[in-house]
Amino acid sequence: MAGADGDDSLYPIAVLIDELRNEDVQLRLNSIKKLSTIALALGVERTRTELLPFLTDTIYDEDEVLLALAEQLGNFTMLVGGPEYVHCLLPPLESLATVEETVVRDKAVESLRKISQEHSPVDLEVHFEPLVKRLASGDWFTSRTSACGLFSVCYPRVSSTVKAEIRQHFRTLCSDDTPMVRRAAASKLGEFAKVLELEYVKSDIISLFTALASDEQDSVRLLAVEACVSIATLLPQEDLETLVMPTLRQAAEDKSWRVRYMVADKFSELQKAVGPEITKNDLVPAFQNLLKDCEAEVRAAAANKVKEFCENLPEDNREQIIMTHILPCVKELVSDTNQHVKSALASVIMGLSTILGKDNTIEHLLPLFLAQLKDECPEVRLNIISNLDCVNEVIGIRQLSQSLLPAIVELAEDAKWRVRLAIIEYMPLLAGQLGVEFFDEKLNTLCMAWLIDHVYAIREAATCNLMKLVEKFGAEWAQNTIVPKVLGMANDPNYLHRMTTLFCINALSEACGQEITTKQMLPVVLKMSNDQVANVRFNVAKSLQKIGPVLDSNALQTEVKPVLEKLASDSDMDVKYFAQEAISFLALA
Amino acid sequence: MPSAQVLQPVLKMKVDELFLNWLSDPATQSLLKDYLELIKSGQHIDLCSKETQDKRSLSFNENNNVASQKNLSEKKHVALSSPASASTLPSGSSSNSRVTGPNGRVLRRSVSTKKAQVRTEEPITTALSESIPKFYFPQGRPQANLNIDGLISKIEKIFSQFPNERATIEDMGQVAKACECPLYWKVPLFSLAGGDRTGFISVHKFVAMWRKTLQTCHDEASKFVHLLAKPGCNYLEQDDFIPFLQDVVNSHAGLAFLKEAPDFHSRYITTVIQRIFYNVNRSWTGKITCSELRKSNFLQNVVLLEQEEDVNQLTDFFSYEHFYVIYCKFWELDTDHDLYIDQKDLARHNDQAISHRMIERIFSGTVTRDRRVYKEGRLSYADFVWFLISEEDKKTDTSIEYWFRCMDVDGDGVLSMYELEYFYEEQCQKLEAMAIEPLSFEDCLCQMLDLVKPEVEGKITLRDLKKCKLCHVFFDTFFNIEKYLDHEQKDPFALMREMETYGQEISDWEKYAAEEYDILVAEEAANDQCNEVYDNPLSPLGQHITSELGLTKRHFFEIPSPHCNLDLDEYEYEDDFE
Repeated sequence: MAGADGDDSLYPIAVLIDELRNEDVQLRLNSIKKLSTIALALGVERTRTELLPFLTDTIYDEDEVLLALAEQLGNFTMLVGGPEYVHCLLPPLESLATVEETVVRDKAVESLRKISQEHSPVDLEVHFEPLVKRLASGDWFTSRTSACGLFSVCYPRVSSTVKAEIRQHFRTLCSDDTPMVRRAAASKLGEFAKVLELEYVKSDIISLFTALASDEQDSVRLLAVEACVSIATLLPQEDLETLVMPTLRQAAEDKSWRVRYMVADKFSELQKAVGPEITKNDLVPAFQNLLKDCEAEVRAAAANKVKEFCENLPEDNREQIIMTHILPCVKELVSDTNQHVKSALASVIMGLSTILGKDNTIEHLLPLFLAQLKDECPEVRLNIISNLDCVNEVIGIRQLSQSLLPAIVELAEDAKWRVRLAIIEYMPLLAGQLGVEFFDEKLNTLCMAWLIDHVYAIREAATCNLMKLVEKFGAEWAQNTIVPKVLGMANDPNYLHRMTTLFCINALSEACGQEITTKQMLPVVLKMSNDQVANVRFNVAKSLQKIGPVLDSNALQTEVKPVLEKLASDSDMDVKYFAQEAISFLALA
Repeated sequence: MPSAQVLQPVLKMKVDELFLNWLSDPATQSLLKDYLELIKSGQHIDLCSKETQDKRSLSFNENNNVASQKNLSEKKHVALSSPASASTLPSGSSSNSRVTGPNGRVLRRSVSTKKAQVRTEEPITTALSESIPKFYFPQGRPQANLNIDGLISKIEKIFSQFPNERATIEDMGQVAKACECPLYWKVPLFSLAGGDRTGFISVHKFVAMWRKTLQTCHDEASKFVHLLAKPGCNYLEQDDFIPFLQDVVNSHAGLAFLKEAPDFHSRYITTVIQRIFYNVNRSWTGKITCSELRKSNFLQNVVLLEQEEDVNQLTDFFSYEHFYVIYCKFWELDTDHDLYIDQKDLARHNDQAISHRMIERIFSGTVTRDRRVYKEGRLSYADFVWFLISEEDKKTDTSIEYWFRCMDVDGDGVLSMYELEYFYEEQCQKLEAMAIEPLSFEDCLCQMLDLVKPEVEGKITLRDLKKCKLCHVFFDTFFNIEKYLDHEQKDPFALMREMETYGQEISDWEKYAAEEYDILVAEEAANDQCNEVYDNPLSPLGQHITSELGLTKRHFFEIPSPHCNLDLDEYEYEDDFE
């Protein structure tokens, strides 16, 4: 070991280096993560001449270690002596860019992209570009795949002859034998197009794009759709129709649903890229088709884009397009057989009201909202409820309460307790959207009614709901509207309801604060310690334990302690037990 | 560390260790980055707690840097750029140095990342760096007291016995031993000294060559690579092994029966080379480096070759029986015997057990280096070796990588649901054709995800499969109907037991090769019984008996089998074997 004879202070560095080749993966991983420390101690010279060759040589390892290494090397420029020497990092990264595990290759490519920026134009041609070429003509698809990500970073800064070579290599990879490489090339097509001169975009990229978009593999075709967005942005408007649109039309009607899905998923970007005229003529019918697609995944992706698509339509005849072309499709989707589709629609459909205005919303959209609010799938309902605010802005609270509230109330009183439970969970959200006034007027009664529901799960959820409402509206509101009603239940003949009072107090004391708890809640709890039902009494003990920390010490000593002591000598076992628990928890013994 | 060491340095080591821990902490690094940013923009950093120490160490370094003492933050660089100040302080005041130490070095580090400061920084780093021992030995770690002259004189002594002090290939065994090398290094030694051109080597040439080797290569692996590699290369390619292996064929006792059948030499050699690359070249680069060689057991096997008379005991690379099995399997498929098979041929392997979709993938260029496989749709014998070993042993890392490459149709590094569905579809059709009700894809998927337990749900990566001890079941489910049914019918407890003994017993490949070999031999025996030449049950053990009896027999495709004597006249080689 290094420390035995040399300078002791270097022992840890030597250990770190030693552990780079330890049997234990974890130790190697730790060491790799401290690679910058090692490099720093070695100095730039030895990092270049010894550490990097060492790392290059031992490149076959567990992928966790390689991943960490690939990442570290992306930040190593200064540690090898600055941009002048940055090319020293290329050999290990080149090896990493060809390993079996994809995450490692991707990370190595990421680091290569990063350090490519630190190369001088000369170094880029002397060191970096040959590496790209080697990878691009590698034996295995793994290395050729990695090459695809490197063309665009070196292209802008090399001479025109090298540029021509790079374009040639990229062309070759686009027609590679293995679909994996074509896929990688397709995924970088857009990025590469962006750094190319316009003439080459037209002469090179378009033909590659057309070829990839009609590849035999759908995994390649669908990536061409992504490239379509960038390519369309680069081209002048007048060329789009001839150069891009035929391919895009074809993609929207591809026989593979995964390609159509991609079109649907990228629809807003495509729409922006091709501009309003083409949108009107081409994309509207395409979008209609996607909304009616036979695959649920495609419909869901398209449904997700309904609002954005409509928003971005040219304003002059937006309303007309939506009303005649889009809305009929949307109407069908409301009663789709697939819940993901409905749910996707529900998350955006409310947004249409701002675009269509008050009258159209009331006439056309409200019925759809209502239908979705009553959907059997809770996610659909939740998506509607959580977006109520945007409708509120358009048609006003009165209108909304008249139209939607009955539906909500209806659900709140549904015979199935699970439906009721679902609605309770939306209450805090709804309260937040509609404001305190509206809540007091329309919903408060509902919330209180749930407290005496005959199903425990509902009562429990209702208690929790109250707590969330108090958090939203504040203690004062609680004191005026909720607390009196809750405390009133302490005198209910049904002991279950009396217990609900205690549960509510448990939940509310913290949110309400010390004053309300001490002045209003505590007396009621203490009084209930005389209840003739043992369950109520031991819940009193539990409640005291729960609200104790909120109370001041005076109240604890003079009021809580005597009651707990009394309960601790109760005739009932459980009451005794919980009273003693509370005494020790509150340290009142 | 020796136990005699006093406490003091250990304490310092601990301090350093703590410092390193602290330095490599992400929070520290982000803090330091912030400082660095501030310093770069010329702002003042408020480190009042360190003010006093700064002053102290400032005087320390006064003449180090004049230009940069413009503001306090700059001074701090200089002050703290002396890591030695912390480590050379006597441990009595170590509490003090502990405080400065970290900050000092940290700032030193930030200095080093600032180019303008490198000049003042360098000497210190060098001092620090010099005391770290060399750790990278691409050619192996040099031995401290290697007496090269002693070794050389031993070699010269051997040469002096030869006429004209020249060694021919027959003498090389002795020379190799004098060089303290395994016997079968003899031909590479001969060739590197120029013997392959002249037919003999002179003592001068050899000694010069060997002296250079000893001076540059310090372990077995690097010597071996040096001997076999092409000039200027530090890695081995497939063809580099040919002379070495040809010599094994020519001179190993266990392969003596093959001597008279030169046409099979290249097949055997091809097989061994593929097996070497399959096992050793774990990076798939086609270039075996020293470090790959060190990690493998290949060189140990070369040593064993010398001690073990029966090559069949060397199951990792050299076994003739294994070659025999692989070659017979290929021969069965290669109906036109041109040493290439197409998709239809490969599909017949093991009675159509492997799905067409998988066969297509094997021909798609993902697992074969030669582009002709895809372009011309034909698979060479060498590629078949990889296929068969992967197919029959799905537990090794190379095999898992092989099949992962095939199953990852889009090459994104993840086996996605649609890829699994693609392969499973065909399995379902096959099962239905066999009147077996297939499991629905969803159910199968659940089972397989439970089996593999991928780290990210629904995304199976290569790493997940390498960690999964039942990944062979996973693969067979998706493309090998026969093995899938075997697994399905297997007693689950047997599977559990198999998992427990994982890695201890002999490999699936060895099991397969042994069984198949017995079957092939039995088939031949059945053929032979018609001839009534002899009725010796042809176990591999029968080899000596038969050869002693001098019996001859014909094989169904005329490949020399180690268990029988050969009579060359009996053979009529196919033309396309040439």
